[in-house]
Amino acid sequence: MDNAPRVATTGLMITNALYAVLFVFTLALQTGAVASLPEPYRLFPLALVMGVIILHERSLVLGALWLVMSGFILEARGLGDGLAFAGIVAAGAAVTLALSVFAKRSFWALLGVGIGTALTFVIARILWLFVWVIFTRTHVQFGSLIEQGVVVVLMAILGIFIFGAYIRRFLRWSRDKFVSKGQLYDISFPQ
Amino acid sequence: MAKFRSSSEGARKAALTTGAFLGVILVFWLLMRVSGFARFYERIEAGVVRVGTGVGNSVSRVTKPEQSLATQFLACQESTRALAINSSSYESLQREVQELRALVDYANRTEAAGIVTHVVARAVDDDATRVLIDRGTLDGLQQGSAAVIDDGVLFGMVEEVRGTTAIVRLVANAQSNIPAAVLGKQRTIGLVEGREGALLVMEFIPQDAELGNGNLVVTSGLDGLVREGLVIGLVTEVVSVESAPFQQAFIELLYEPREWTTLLVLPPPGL
Repeated sequence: MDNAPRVATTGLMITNALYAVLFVFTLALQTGAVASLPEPYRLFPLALVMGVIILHERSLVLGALWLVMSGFILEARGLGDGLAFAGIVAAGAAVTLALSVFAKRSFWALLGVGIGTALTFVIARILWLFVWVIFTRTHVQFGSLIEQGVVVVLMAILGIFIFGAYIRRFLRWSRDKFVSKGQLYDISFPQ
Repeated sequence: MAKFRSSSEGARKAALTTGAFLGVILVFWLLMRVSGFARFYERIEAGVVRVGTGVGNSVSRVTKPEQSLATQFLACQESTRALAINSSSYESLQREVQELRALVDYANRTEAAGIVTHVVARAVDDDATRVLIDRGTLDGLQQGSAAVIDDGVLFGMVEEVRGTTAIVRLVANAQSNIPAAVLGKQRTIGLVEGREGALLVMEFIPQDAELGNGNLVVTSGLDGLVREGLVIGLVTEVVSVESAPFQQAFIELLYEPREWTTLLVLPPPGL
């Protein structure tokens, strides 16, 4: 009985460490495989979609960390501008949406959080680039940026539709298999 | 309103989640400082890029609409017409052809001094005009070096160099400015800048310069960073307004950047 909290703590840490490995692998897939696909497939926001699904299905904290860190790491590696800021804003929006607007753990709620987060991500990035352009006097095609932002949102919707159900099922299976049911949900989920 | 779980238990779980997740990422980041691990991981990433590029090329072939074939045919017809016009100046162009051949030979000779690199990641932003390569300062890579593909075709410039990696800014990047020359009757000098998509624009072409569709654009080497004679693209349209001090030419790249995974980085001339 005394060992129970320690086992739960160890299990929680191991699971989250495995999610971090999955995170690194997802980023490699995003910048390697997905970015090598032709238009419009290369715009598929794999890291964002995974982050939203994890936030909605597994843990608000983990999902928010996923969204923030993905933007931060991609920008730190020089693979995009304004991604860190957009990631932070999108994480905030995703947490707010999952808590107060799409609070149910249904597929449609997941889709709602996904659309809201993707939209926020795109808008935040465009706003960031707008300010960035003013200060750096560089050339940015905002028409194309908005156009591609729409594609990113559509791709996110498509991604959740296609992979969302499978990933949800896998996450729930792994949770029930390796950790007791419901144990991994953290503070913020409404009961 | 929704109720929430006990805050102390929740805070403990949140702290554990954050600690474990960020801890692994921190360990990974520290491992990436070790060149042996970084090389190993970059090899995996390069493999992922190769697989993605292969899948992407297959997808491109499958999803390419038939209409684009018709478009390509029309473009070929237009190109043939332009070539027919240019054939009248064949004699004078022959000199440029010889010069170009010499430049290509020159580019071939420089291969020995170049560093072969692989793309390990591509930019995820809207224009995708940056790639990460698996060579850095430890391999002697220098900022400002030219990255070439194929038989001396300019792919981009090394923008930033790190320990084992470097960022290459593609020619089509909006921040790209490359001194260039148009090979035609006379050697016309200008500045090639990136524009939306794969389109480039050559600015500051003197009004009296004669150039036309199909002319080859190469680097002029005037900035001292890029070698002379690296192929940039073909002129597709010349915009000449009498009141303007300069002409403008639209240039089309000869390649699809997404399809290339191996680059040769040439150090700045004189090094």
